[in-house]
Amino acid sequence: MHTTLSSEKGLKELTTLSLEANRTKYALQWKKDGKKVAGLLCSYIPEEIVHAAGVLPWRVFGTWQAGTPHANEWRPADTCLYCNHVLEALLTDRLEFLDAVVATDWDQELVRLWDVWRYVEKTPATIIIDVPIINTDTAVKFLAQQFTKFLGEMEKLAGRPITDDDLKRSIAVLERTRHLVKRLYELRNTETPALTGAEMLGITTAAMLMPKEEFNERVEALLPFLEKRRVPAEKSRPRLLVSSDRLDNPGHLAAIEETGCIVAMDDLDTGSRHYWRTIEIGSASSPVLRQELVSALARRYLMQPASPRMMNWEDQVDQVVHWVRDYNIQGVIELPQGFSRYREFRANYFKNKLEEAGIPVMSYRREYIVSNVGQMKTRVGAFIEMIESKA
Amino acid sequence: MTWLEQEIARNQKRIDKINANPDSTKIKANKLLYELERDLRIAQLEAWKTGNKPLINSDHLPPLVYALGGIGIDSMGAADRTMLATEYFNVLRSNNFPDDACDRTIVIIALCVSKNFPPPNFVIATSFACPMECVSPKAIGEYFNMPVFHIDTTLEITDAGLTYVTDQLGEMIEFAEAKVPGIKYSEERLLYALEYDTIAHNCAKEIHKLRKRVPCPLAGQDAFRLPRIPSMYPDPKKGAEYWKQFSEEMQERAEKGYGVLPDEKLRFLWAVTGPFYFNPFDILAKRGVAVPALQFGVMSRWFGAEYGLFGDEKEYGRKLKPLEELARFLNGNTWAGVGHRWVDSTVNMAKDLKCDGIIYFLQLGCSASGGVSRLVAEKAERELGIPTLMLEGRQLDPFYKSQQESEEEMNAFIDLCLEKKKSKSK
Repeated sequence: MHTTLSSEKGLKELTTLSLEANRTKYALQWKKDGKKVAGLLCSYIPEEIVHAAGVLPWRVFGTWQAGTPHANEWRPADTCLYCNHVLEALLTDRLEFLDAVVATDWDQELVRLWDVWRYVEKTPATIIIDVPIINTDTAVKFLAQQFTKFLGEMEKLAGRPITDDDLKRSIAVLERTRHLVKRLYELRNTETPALTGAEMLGITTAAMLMPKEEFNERVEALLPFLEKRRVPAEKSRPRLLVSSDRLDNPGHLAAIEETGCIVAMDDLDTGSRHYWRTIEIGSASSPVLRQELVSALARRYLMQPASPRMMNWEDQVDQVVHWVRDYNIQGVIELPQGFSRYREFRANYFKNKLEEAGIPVMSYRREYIVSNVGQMKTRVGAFIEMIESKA
Repeated sequence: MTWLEQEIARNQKRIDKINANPDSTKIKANKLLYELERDLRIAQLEAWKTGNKPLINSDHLPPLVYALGGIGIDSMGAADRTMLATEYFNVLRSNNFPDDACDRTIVIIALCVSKNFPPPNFVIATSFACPMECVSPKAIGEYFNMPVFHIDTTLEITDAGLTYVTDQLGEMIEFAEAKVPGIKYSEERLLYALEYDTIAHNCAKEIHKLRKRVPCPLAGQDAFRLPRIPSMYPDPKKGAEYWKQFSEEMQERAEKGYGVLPDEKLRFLWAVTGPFYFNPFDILAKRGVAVPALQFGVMSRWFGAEYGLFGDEKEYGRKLKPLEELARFLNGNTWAGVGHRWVDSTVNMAKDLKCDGIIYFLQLGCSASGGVSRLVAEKAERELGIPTLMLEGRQLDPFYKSQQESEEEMNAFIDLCLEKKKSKSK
């Protein structure tokens, strides 16, 4: 075991990896080793296929700087803030090391970001995957076709075929990552959690920025330390759940927690939603065909706890209610990122259904970057007061 | 009086006015159009009050709504007709719905929530054009606890995509028949609707040919008229009649050499949508600018510039079954696809219609068109040598941008285009 990893220092190395100054560390080393990096723009992209090609799946985060003047020359300012900040990073040459970028139609804003990305020709390969907004069997079949096509694109990028064994190995690695991250979530499901919400987001995003094998090794080393670690008792109540999309900056959660609460669970595509669902592949004894592997991946990605871009709103609320009960949560904070239309249109439904279930909920429209912290803290503070007065 | 009742009265008043005092300078087909609009609103009102027929949102699939035996709810069409929607933004805010999304997609929520317009008894939420056009009817369906069925369209046009959407349509029919009283799918009715929609489409193709003429025989307002497919109306046959009459009149005007503008100096393609709270064509016409067309997501298909609307075997190389035709239509909206589909379609349209410039309406909250506006402008400049005005605004909100400001921008753009044309001709 790496003793340095199983310590506060080891934890900090992980939780600070998504900082703008650190996030390219592993990708650049990967490139130095003569290997390729694919930037992924969404949590519906099968990392297993990228990994199986020997390419580093690297989640693209935007610049955390305030302005996006270069991006605004291409996209109206009143559009998805994540996309604007990512485009700013691209146009200011911070993503030059990417060999490919992979988008989906998470929403139309992301497609339009991809359109511009393709047009400016700053990345050798620009790939887009058509991901259904529904999760029926028909949709799974369609997505499997898309994944098969994507597999071909990755083979082209890698310059070699991806064998079934490659794919199985990669699935096993990614499943291990999910298992370990879920173990960390369990450590938060205690009276005094092992990690704050901000720390947890630091870890879940770190897994998206480094080789999975190394992440797994580090978390395995860290677990014995975390199993004993506790956040200070006075900071462990009330327990809140934060729901948002494309939230990659732990500073948002840190600001909430500074008001005197803990984000004990999240509903984030950079957090729990990305790791929750495992892959189901036939019986272990019979040989598995490639098509079955790809179909299993398609099913896994469409059935993961959904983003509001999926149309199964009822399941999405049910999942949050389940987490609220399971993690003994006292209130839900929804943080829609400005101009995130799917979430905004779902807001009325989300709020009403949670309130019907007796769960206090507040909503605060956030920027992509951490800003207006004072205003947010005031709102969260009032929400906490309301929760505590009811307790 | 609800908004719906006001619409019935408004259309009736227009019809009465024409009957009492026909104006020979106006298009005669307008009377049929007002009757169709009135009849649609009457049918909607009756279905709302009596429940005699299921109301189904029909912006994307009018022939199928007709085949299911429903009365169409024209979500965006109704919003367009509010012209000025200030009061509805307040309703949205107070009900925790976004007020700064594309206004033509959100106003319908407010119309329904404020009981001015009937919510559908069955919602078909499709990603046909943009996420907002999908989640807006879904939000209404969930708000009123009505059954909602989602249809996912595809980014690219492929055989696999056609099969995928066709399969979903079949599933939707099963779902609707099981969940919604009064719904029963009839292929005979679908074929009937498609027959009259195709007649209208053939008329639209003729109108499109006229657009190419110089001077343009269509006034900007007529070019801007958003086509209502006949099956949107309770009587598709009458809907097709309107298109025939409108097309014939347009032909007649062209034959007689009526250029709407006596001295056509410039031609602009108007893209996306425009302000509905004032008439931007007056200022353009005054300065000799013709607007032969409004370019929008399905414009090139509806007017036959690229493919036919229904029954065109070119796209997939074979004759399609009726539900496949609908799937083909659903996947054909250039807004919903990857950007080059919209970019290429818009620049091709400007080229085809010999335009000297493009007015690209940057509709607040339009995720389909905003993010590729510069790609359109650069391609138009590079390939056609024509400039593009990015005219920011909202369709139904005069407080977002004033008429005066918009007109100043258009005037400056006209000056630029005139200068450019002059220097080209030297």
